[in-house]
Amino acid sequence: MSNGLSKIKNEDFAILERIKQAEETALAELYDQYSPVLYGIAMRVLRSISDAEDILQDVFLQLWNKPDSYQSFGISIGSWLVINTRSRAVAKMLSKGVRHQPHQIDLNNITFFSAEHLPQNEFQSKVIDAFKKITPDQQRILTLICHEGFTIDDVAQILKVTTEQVHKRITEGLRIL
Amino acid sequence: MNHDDKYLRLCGVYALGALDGSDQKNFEAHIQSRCEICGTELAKFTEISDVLYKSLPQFHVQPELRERILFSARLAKVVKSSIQKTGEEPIVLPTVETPPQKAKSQWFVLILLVAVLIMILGFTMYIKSLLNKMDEQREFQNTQQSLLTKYADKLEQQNAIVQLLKSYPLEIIKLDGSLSYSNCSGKIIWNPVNKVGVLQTSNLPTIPDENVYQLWMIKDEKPIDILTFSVSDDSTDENIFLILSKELGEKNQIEEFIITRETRKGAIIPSGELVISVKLNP
Repeated sequence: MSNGLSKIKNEDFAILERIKQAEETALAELYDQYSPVLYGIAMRVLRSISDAEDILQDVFLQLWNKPDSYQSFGISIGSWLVINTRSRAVAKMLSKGVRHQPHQIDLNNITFFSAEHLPQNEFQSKVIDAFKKITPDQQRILTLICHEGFTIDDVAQILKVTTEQVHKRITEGLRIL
Repeated sequence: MNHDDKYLRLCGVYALGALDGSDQKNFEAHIQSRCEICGTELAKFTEISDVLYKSLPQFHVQPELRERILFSARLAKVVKSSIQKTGEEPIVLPTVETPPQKAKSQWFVLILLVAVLIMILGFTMYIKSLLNKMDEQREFQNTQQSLLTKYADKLEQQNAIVQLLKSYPLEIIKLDGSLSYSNCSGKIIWNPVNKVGVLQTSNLPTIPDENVYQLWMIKDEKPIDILTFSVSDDSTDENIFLILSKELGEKNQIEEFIITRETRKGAIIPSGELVISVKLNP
């Protein structure tokens, strides 16, 4: 699968060079492209508009002020932004001492793709189809992390498994996808 | 490059952004050590992770956030270029610039002091003018009070005179000015029973405050002090004074009436300049 988030490295390199030249339009382009996804990630973890906005500001300004901090691990800027946003959001949530309540989650009522969430394009349609191929347990883990914003520890607690088991199931699930 | 399966198992978790704390740092350090196996796995997983996150229902992002972030970026750019500029330019010792800064500061203090002084002066003048106004007001009130008292006295006097003129019997004598006061004249009307009388004078000149006019009655060759009075500026020609004296008896018992000009306190016997005299029973 490929999508708009995973840009080819040449494009990422070009936009990174423009950011290093302090071209505001480059940052604006990145923002327009990634902010909806990143904001969704931050909101799912923090569940606070102001905190989510702060996280987005921190992430984009980090890239703007220290473009070298984007280390190419063979991943796109988009992926780097996703990882950075998610890990910052979790760190902020933990620092504030505000945790979601894992025991309150009803596993029967969570789903990654809800019934009303119809695929908006062929690409999403493929993702939904691929998601059906992984086990229900793997689906739950990805849903709890991506959709519900839980941490690995929370997921382990909810599913009553170890964090290593959660790691393993994530890896297995992503490999299938 | 040292591959470690431990990190290979974390590629998916890291790709989801779910790795945190020291695990995240160690993982990143491992990837930066150019482990091709983990690098390839990570690249693959991040693509899937991006897809999953992008497939989630979206939240509405406030448009202001874009402006906020771009403005912050612009601000950071300005600050950064300013710092760079400062770093590039040689530092010039402020040999000439420092004194004007000090002078500027001194001028500022001086202006501030002058402003404060002006304020104090203005305030003092304002207080002084207020006090003056209060004094003027008090003076005006005193004047009004004295005028009221004066009018009340006059009214009382006029009533007494009216009562006198209505009474019976009445004695009347005419007064003539001395040589120096030839244009002066007057009358004395009195009731010998009630011992109340009135003195009317015409054209008596105003005299300084240290002097008074004194009316005497000569009886049995002895002067008797009847009345001490002065003539005010506002009275033009005529002045009327009430006389209350137990000595005001029958006309035939009085030898003479005289008016002299005496010192302020009045005299025991007539000693000042003779102004008016009339002999009744020489």
